[in-house]
Amino acid sequence: MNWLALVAISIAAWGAVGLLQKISSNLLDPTALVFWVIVGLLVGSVPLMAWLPASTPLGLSGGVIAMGLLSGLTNALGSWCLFRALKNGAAASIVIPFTALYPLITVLLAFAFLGETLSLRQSLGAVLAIGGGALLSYEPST
Amino acid sequence: MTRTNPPSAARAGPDHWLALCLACTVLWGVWGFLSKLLADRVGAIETQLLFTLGMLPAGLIAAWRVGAAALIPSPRGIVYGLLNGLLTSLGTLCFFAALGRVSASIVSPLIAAYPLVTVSLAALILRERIRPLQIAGAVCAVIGLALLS
Repeated sequence: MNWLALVAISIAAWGAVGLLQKISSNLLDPTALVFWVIVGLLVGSVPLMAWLPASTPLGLSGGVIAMGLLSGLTNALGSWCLFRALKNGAAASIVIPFTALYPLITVLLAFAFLGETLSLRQSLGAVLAIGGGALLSYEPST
Repeated sequence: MTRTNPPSAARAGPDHWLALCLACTVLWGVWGFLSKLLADRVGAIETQLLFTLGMLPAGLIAAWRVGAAALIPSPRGIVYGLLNGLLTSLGTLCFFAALGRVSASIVSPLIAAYPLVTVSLAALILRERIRPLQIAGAVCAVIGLALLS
């Protein structure tokens, strides 16, 4: 599938997740939501095993397995920090847009360790997309 | 990546909200980077499965902390929670697949514009008012998307 189509599906899916979180905030405790999100992730991911090549997971190196597990762990820990920050008195109107800037860290790491580069036009696009995402996430406390 | 809004007393040190907020941003940024490293080495399905496995301890800790009563609040709550997870799973799978085709410095900023969909859906379905700052954000995001893609 074309990479832009994949990005579009991702944006649509995560955008809908944002809406669901708004709707379910009165129905579910945030920690319980984490649990159900992970159950949903399992339900959505386990059937994918049918598409795995016969060699996997035995064909995966220890490094790749460690990296994969670490990716799940960093995501979960990040979410935990967000919840904790909100619990410790942070205003959602500040914290949510601030944490929406996280792709900047990914871009910086990709520049530093993978030698990725962006043209001036793409850099401007990246700043606008990330900044725009952060502004869109702004919701004044009521 | 989930959100809530229950404020309470501020604390100092590593438990201060700003430190936690920075930690969250860095951890999610590292997650994006690790996802790229994985996507360059294995397929999106393998990445998705490993990522989900890595999330499991958090799910178990969450279950242990809140207890059965809060975990099973209402059938509607469970349906929303599960749907949340299923859509998250679709989003991450496509994110990993895109990372396998293009650089992280293109895909990550593009994906960052997803609140555009949330705000639009909230305005359409929940009749939420779109604020001027969000309109400015939407304009920035759309121009950013056009320049990046």
